[in-house]
Amino acid sequence: MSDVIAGVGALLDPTVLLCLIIGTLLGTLVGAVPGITATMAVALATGFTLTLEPIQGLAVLLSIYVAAQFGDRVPAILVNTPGTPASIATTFDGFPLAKAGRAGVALTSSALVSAVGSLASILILVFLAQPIARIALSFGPIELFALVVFGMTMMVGVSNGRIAKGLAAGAVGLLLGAVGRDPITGDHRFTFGLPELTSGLPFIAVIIGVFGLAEIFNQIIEARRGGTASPIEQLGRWWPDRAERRTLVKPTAIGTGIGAVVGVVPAAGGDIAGIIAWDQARRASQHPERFGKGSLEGLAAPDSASTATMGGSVTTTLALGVPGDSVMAVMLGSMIVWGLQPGPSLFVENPDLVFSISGIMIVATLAALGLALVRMQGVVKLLKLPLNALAVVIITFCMVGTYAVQNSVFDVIVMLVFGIVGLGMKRWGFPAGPLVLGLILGPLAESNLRRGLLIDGPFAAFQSPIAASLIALSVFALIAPAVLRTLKRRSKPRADAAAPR
Amino acid sequence: MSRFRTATIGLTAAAAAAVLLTGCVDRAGADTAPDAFPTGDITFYTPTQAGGATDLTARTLATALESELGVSVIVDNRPGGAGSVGMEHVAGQAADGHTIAVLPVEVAMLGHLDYDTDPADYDFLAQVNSQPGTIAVPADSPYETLGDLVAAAEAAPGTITISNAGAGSIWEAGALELGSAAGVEFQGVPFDGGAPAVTAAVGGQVDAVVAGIGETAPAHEDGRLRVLAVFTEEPAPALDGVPTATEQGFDVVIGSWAVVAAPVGLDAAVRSTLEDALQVAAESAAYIEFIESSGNIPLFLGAEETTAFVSAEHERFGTLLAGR
Amino acid sequence: MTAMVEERTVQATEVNDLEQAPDQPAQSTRLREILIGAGVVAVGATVLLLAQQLPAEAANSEFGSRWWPSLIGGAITLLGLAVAIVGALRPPVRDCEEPGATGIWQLLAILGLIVVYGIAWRFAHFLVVTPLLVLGIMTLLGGRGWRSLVLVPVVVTGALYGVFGLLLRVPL
Repeated sequence: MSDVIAGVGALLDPTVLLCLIIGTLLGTLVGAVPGITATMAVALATGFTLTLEPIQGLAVLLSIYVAAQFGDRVPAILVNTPGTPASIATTFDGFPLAKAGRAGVALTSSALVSAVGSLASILILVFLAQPIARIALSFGPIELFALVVFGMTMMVGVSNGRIAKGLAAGAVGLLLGAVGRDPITGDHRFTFGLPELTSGLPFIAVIIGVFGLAEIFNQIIEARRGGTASPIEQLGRWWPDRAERRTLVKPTAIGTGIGAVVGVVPAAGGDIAGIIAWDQARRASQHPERFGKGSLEGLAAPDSASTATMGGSVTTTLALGVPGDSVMAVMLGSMIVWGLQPGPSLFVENPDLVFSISGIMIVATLAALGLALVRMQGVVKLLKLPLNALAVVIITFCMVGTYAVQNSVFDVIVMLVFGIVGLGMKRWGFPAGPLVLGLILGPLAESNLRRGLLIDGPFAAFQSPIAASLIALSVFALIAPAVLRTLKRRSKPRADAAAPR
Repeated sequence: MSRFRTATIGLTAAAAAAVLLTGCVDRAGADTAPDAFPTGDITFYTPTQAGGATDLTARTLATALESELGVSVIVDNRPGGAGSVGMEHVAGQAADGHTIAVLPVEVAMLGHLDYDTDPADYDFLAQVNSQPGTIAVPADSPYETLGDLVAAAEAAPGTITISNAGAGSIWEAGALELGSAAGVEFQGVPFDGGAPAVTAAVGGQVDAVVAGIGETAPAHEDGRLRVLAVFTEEPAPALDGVPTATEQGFDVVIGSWAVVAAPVGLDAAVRSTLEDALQVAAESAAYIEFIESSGNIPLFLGAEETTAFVSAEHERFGTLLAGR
Repeated sequence: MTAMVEERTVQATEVNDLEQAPDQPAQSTRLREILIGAGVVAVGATVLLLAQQLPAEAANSEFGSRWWPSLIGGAITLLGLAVAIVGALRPPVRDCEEPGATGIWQLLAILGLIVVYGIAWRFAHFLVVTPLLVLGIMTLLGGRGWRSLVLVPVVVTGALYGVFGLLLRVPL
């Protein structure tokens, strides 16, 4: 108990509060700007926070980490551009909701469920850190491969009914993920002699291109002569009504659960959790047909899931000294320099630190939620801009944001090229979700499978109970919907409108 | 009205954050004679992401260099292509001393790995640290000494798995060097960076890991890993009581390092100004504390010694990596 | 690679012709879907071809740098066939509106401006070239009056420079 008091007491220092506020503001801002990810913001801030005391420094870094998860939802919902990769799945239903005139409800609901996911996962951190962290260590390469395979089955769900084109887009995504150095032998693949490509296609640039730029390009193309109307005519109500609030409960619970589990797994973060949660919530929903067309459930699941990964990631990092995601990998470096060596001994030597960190994250969550609710009405005014001004803002911010990731003009060119690719995909009926899923998961799948084969030989996947059950689950996820559909069709012979979309 | 308020809040926050982040760096010291070096801001490139060890090395040195040279030293990250993108960018800049860079060990390796990087493109100014290599096994491993591990690999060639930080990384080269020194074959398992490679050893998925001392020493301390050997000439201060590989009969001395360099063709006077400033920076308390806190060894070697060192390493990696 | 590009251009022009057909607003045609599928098959075949030029597998393992790209190339080829077959059997409803000719020209002009901007940025400061880019795009998209042509360029440039140049210290 005294650890709790000591840990939380350390936060009462006014400078800590100041650091928290600055971190929250910065986090929300960088989250909302496409290109700049939480990882990058934390990395940039590290150079400065190292000069602060550990608690103050952690307050800045953790609140950036938390608040970026709130900021990145705004462009995802309003302009179909994920602010950070964690909100890729937010675009699936967030943008359709906004186009349907319900941006207000979407933004508010998103902020609320994100806060729920974050708070729930922090409670898990407080109470279950050590036992959960032990599970994380049993995730070796082959288990990670199996998890990634499970993630890839989501391509079907994300294809939104256009399965052949969706899978084709997914396969092209896998191909794009294979660009760069071979993860095991180091051979250069599909790099065409460009050194920039040896570290792989910059995936943030690709995401911004196919989601954000493609959307705005399409609007420019479709605009009637002289018509400069904004794509989103109205925002609608701000607060979800009672019925809407009720529909949020189930997907939020599913999302939080999935996020907490995925967060614990080393190296898997909010982007993967969000996509898995979206698909699982769709399966569990009474209205799966609305997913992808503006479903509040389809918004709540990924948003709560990606914030819920934070508790798990921090848990893994603190309890094992193993980074739970890319932000934590950067933060781990800072903690070591501060003399706070994460790992089992942290809980013996600095037990109060766990409570300080949880306290910082809870306050940052509440601050980011408050900021999200207050600020949104102002930010959203952006959309009242006519199309030409909106297009200018989106194009320039995407360009400079992408440049800023690696100070690289090459990345900006990649983004523009994928803006055009994304436009082509849109016009020819290919969904963008599977492409990005393939790009993110492809390298993880290949490298971990090959590592697993190096370590355990050809039957690696069957020797690990975790891997074997995840693969069985993937097969089930692919087959079950087809079986269920057949059963349903038999029991209900009336030809229900299998609307060809 | 509310739009205006939001904008005001945003601007105030931005200004406050900018002030806090900029800190109290003194920018007013540029009172040198007009023809003397430096005549303007210095760009200090790192070919890595912000936040990593190389980046923080640059940032810590930059602070000390600013007060020493009296101009702003701006750190510019150019990551990508295992560092080759940034290195080639630096090689293409003007050699006027206003462009310098922290270059990691990859500068001597990438040329042997299908990249166009060549140490001859740079004037080396100083070596600023060294990061000794180590080999470690999971805490519950049956191997107590390096000899045990080598004997196991002798008994069943290619079955002892050793994780490393990636294909073509210095730690893959470290495991290769150990294998050739001991005359056995290990199964290398490249991961995507040092942290996941160490994690695989902590989790017991591989038999051993070759990684930097900064990554293995903390885990050794709290009993998650057991470091079997340090690949240095002298025992490392960060790992008290752990023998070197040489002491155990395997002549392996390998590690990562960082040097400061400029594009080739630097004026001799400019070079010595930078060299002197770097010596002060590398011997400053803040820098030494930063390097030591991450388990590595701070040091300073002058321009001539560094040039000789890098070319020796370049040659050595040529033979070592040809055998991959 | 060139084969793929050519295939793509052929496909693009034909599709554009079809898109201008006024009497088919919602339903895609069989021909269009088959051409799209053929484009995907071409991509897959190109990948298969390129993958064979990668370094061969080492002697001791069958999983070298070649098998994964080959697997993907094969998958893309098969899925392209599937796209063509599915599209031929039941052409899907198109969820995009018809593009206007002006819109396409505007987009091409914007992309051209961005390229010029990228070149100009090597020689002039960010604060000089960015307002000109914004001004150009605004003019292209029909912006008129001082708000569109003065206020927007200044505000956008200022916001970009404030966030990235000053706050995040990105070298612009």
